[in-house]
Amino acid sequence: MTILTPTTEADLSEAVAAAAADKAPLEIAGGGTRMALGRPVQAERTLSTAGLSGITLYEPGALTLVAQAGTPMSEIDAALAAENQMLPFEPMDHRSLLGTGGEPTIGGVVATGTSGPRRLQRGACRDAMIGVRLVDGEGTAVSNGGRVMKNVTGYDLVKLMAGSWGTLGVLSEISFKLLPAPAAEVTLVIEGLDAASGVEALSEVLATPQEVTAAAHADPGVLGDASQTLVRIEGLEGSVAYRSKQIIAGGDWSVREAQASRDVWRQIRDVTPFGGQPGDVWRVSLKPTDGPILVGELREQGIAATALYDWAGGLVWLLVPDDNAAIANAVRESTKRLGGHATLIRAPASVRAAISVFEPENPVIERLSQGLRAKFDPHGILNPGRMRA
Amino acid sequence: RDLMEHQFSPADLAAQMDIKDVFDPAWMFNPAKVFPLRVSEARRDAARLAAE
Repeated sequence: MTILTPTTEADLSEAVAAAAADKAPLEIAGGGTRMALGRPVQAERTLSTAGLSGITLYEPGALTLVAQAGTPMSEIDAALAAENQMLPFEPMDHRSLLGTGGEPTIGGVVATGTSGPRRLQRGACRDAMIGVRLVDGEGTAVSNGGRVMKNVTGYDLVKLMAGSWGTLGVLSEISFKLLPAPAAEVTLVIEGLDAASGVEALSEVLATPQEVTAAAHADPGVLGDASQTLVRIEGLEGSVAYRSKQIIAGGDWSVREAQASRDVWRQIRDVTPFGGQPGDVWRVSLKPTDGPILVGELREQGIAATALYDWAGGLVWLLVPDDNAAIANAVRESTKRLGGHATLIRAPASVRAAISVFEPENPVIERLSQGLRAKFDPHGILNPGRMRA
Repeated sequence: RDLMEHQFSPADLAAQMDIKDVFDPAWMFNPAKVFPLRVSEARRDAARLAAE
C-alpha cells in the first residue's frame, strides 16, 4: 500500500497523471475520518490531500474563506471563531458515528457534501461554495468559480464537486461564503410527542416568521428517556428572547439556554447517540411529513428501528439491527415508494460492498453520471467503486 | 462569450465543455452560447461527424 501525500497542486497533478499512466486506481483521502462512507474502494495507492493544508485567504470583511482541501476543520473553525464567523451549513463530524479517528478536513466535507442542522435555513454545503480548484482523472488542474459571490459565467463545476465522493476529481482548494456567528441561541423543547405529532409541531413553528435555524425530533431513548421535539432560535439576544416567547405562546415548549442548546445540536449534528451502538445506520431524505410514515412502515414489518429526525423531519437517521439484507430491502422499498433517497452510512465493509449504498439512480440520471465520470476520470482511477460497483 | 478565454484557462473550458458533451452530445442546444465558437469548433465538428 503506497500513500502519496503531495504538498502542492502541481505535485497532486503529477501524482494523478502518473496513476493515470499506470492505470493504477487511487483511493482519495483527507483526514481519513470518512473513509468508511460509501462502498469500499479497491486501490493499491492512497492519495492523501493532508499535505495540501492551510487557509489560503480569509477576508472577514468580505465574508469569504479560501482553504486548501486538506485543511483540518478544527483550523478553519478556530480561524472563523476568532472573527465571530462560521460556515453557514454547520458540517457534521462523522467521527463519533463511524467510530473513526483522525482530523476531518474541509475537502472531505465537500467531497461528501456534508451539511448539518442549519441546512434547513441556511442551505447546504454546495450552496456556500463559490469556487473550487481540482485535479481531474488525467492530472489536469481545473479552476471554476472564484472568490467573489458574483461569478456567473460558464458552467458551474463548483456544485458538481459537492458530494462527488472523489470520483470526478481530487479537490485542491475550495472557496466559501461565510455568515456572522449568531450572538445568542436558545433551544425550545417539547417532550413525549410521537414522531408524527413532533414533526407536525415542527412544521407549525416553521410556518411562523420566527426564523428557526434548526428543527429536529428524537425518538425515546435517543436524546433522553422521553422523545424530544426541538427547535433552535439564533440571533441577537433581544430578538432571540422575543421570538422564543412568541413560539412558547403557541405550545408547551420548555427552554434550554446557551450551553445546553449548543450541546444538544452538536449531538444531533454528529448523530452521536447512534455512535458506539450496535446496528447499521441509514440516512434517508424525504418529505418531512413522510419521515414518521417510513419509520412506521418499517416497524409494522417487525424491524426495530430507532430514528432521529433532522431538518424538520426531512432527514431521517435510522438505527436498525445490523447485517440483514431483508432490512436493507425494506428501507429501500419504503423510501422509493415515498419518493426519497436512502444512503447506508454505517455498516460493515462486506455489507457496503454487497448492496447498493446510495439510492439507485434511474436510467437517465445514471447515463448522465456515467458520462460525467467518463469525461472527468476516463481511466476510472479516482475512488473506483466508491459510488457503484 | 468571447471573453470566456480571458477568464478561464483552456483546461477550465475543456472541463466545462466535457459537461456539455455529456448532456448534449450532438451540440444541438444553443451551440453558439456560452463557449467561444473557435474554442468549441472541434467538438461541434466531431458531433456533426458522429451524426452523419
